Amino acid sequence: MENDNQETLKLKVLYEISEIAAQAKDLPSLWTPLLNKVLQVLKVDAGTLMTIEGDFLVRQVAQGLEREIMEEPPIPSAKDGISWKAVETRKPQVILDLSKEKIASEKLAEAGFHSLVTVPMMVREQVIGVMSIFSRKECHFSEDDLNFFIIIANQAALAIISLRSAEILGENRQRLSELEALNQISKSVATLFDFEETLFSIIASITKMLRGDKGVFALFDHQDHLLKAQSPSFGLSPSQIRDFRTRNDEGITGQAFCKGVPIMMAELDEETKRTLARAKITGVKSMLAAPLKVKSQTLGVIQVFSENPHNFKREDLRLLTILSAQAAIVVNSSSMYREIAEERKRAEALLSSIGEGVLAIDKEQKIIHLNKAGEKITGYLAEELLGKNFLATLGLWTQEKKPVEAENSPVSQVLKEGKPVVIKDFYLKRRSGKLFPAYLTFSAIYDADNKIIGAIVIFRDITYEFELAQMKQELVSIATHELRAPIAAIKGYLDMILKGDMGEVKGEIRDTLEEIVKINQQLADLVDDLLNVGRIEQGSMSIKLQTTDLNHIIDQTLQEYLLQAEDKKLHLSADKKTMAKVKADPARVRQVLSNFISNALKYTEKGSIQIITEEKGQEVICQVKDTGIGISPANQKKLFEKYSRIKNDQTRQITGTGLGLWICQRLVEMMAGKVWLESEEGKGSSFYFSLPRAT
Amino acid sequence: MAGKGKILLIEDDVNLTRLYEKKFTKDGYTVAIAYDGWDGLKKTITEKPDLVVLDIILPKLDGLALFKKMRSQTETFNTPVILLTNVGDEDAIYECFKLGAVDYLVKSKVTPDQIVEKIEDFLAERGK
Repeated sequence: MENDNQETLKLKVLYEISEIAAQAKDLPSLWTPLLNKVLQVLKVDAGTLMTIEGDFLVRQVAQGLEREIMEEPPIPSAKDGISWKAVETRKPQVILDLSKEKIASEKLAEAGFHSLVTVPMMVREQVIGVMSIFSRKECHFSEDDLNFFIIIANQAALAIISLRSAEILGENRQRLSELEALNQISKSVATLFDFEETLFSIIASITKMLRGDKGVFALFDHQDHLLKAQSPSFGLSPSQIRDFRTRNDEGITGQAFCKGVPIMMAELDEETKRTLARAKITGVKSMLAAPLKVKSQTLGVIQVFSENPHNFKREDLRLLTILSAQAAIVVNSSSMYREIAEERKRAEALLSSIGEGVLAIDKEQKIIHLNKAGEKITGYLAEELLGKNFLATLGLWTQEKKPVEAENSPVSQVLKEGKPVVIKDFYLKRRSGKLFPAYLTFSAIYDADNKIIGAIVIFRDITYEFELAQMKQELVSIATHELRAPIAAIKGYLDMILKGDMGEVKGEIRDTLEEIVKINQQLADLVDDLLNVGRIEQGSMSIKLQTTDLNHIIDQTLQEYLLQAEDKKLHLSADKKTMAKVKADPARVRQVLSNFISNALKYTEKGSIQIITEEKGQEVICQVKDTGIGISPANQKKLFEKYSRIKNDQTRQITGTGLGLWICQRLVEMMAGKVWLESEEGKGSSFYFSLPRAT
Repeated sequence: MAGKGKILLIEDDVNLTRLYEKKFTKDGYTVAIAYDGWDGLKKTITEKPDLVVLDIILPKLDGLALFKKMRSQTETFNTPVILLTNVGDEDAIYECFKLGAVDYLVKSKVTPDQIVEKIEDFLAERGK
């Protein structure tokens, strides 16, 4: 064979191999055609291809071998063998007479094979697997043959790795919302493949091979429908890359893209010149442009420029076609990777800008993501938690600091039912082992088929809020407790003075002291009300339900207010229409009743106050009816709000905290009853509370 | 004055103890004072009071626990106790009643006169 012809043949083979890779829809569909092509080119009848998967060499495909050999398990790196030797030495291994060597599988010799060649498949100095060919005849492999085999193996390696990255990228594109995918891509692809460097070496070697001065990829931008130059380039400045853009029907670049065929131009046309001038690319006299095609899609154009007119020859066109097929796969993976990397960056930026901890878990409750805020809150670095079980690391404790069981945890619940769960005041564990109170939201992540594939946990450290709330409670409790004693003491002394224990008190002094007694009582009431509100809000108000004689409580309470009623010349009485007992806490019932009666006394100037009990279904209703000033419908609505006090000319003189009715309503509700009122301005009001009958 | 009897006042608030001490003394009682639960419990034996006026919230030993201990020691098994309470101490009051407290008075509602009235009523009842 003529040397030139042989070179062309080799190029043709390389082209065919990259074509096989470009046509393959996935990795499994790559192996067989790839190996077959290699065997055909090398004119042998048996061979195998193995890739490195962790610590093993895994056979992906074999041809012409006995079943026994085909089914041999993956070879661990610990086991010496011809294949691992090829990996370690990075050099082809040749065994001419298998019957004399022990390093290869004995089964090969048994199967009648005579010789073997194993070569490493390498991409950028990295061995990704080995390719072996076997011959039954006695073969003498020439150095040329070996070199060709190495080139083929490396071409195959590039095809495999491009496809593998494209596969990982493609797979994950569909699941971009999934954080796991983002992580996987950044890890696997980036370490697998340095796109920048690979693309540069491709464009540089193509440019050199074609004796050009400059080379650059231009990719089609679907947004503005322009072909735009992309870095890395060979021989162009960043600003030239930035400014090189052309319409997809403009000049050589546009035509190569549109028509999908490589174009050579010995002299530049006006359109192409304008395009180059826009980017201030000067001195170009001739150029080559070939489309970058992956499967049926054209991604863009690869271009090589020369300062010499007529630099390119016809054969160069064919060469560029071959090389561009390979380049297309890498460019495709690269642009996909870039997009995904950008998306990942955006997602990361978004997540890390959130002040709340964000954690993602997969279906197995393993942590697959933790953002910066989450690291800060938990004290863990994301890497320490990735792949670990959520409950086994951060855990989850109830308000009582009891660990949440795995089956009943909100995590399982969300993963099972998909409904978001919000929990407050549960505890998580920091890296230090300390528990901290957190506000947590669990929500499911779905894949494209609407299947739950994991969950997002957003959590906030509420230690501060917790302490604040506790401090507030303590403050209220201390303040009220500490205030009560002095108020009681003042009241006691005033009482002693007014009773004459310290000598006779009369006239204006007595009037003033009586005024002070009233003010002091207001203070006492306020403190009691605040304490009650605090307890209700904390949930520490205790209610002891028991069979209670409501009428008895009414009698007792009436006694306390008879004097006050007499002072105002009001008729205070009870009308007991039922003797039924209720299920209630007597102390709370007395509290509510006292409040209703004292309110009635405050807002009634003449007439009567009547307490009526009656049965209605399973309830007993108690009504406190007055003939006072009444309440307008608008004000009736506001009445049960906290600190609600109706202020008008008639009520200005009347003191109160505006907490009483709110407290009453809560207390009655805690006893499974209701509070309501009926009122007409100027005629009077009726306040009701109902309680369940005792059974 | 031989007096009407001895009252042990167990109350941690100084203002209130002074007030009640003044009132009780004026009305002819002998008064012993304890400011915390432990001291109070000790004095229920050493002072041999005719009646104990007991606050519920107390340092060192709260009123309810003190009351339980009183009921479990022979010297004080029968000593009458009037509880001095605040609004909201209902649970403790309930417990104390089960243990046989004589009565309870809510500090912010009751006047010194009313306390003395209670004491007098009770001691008179007992004297019969």
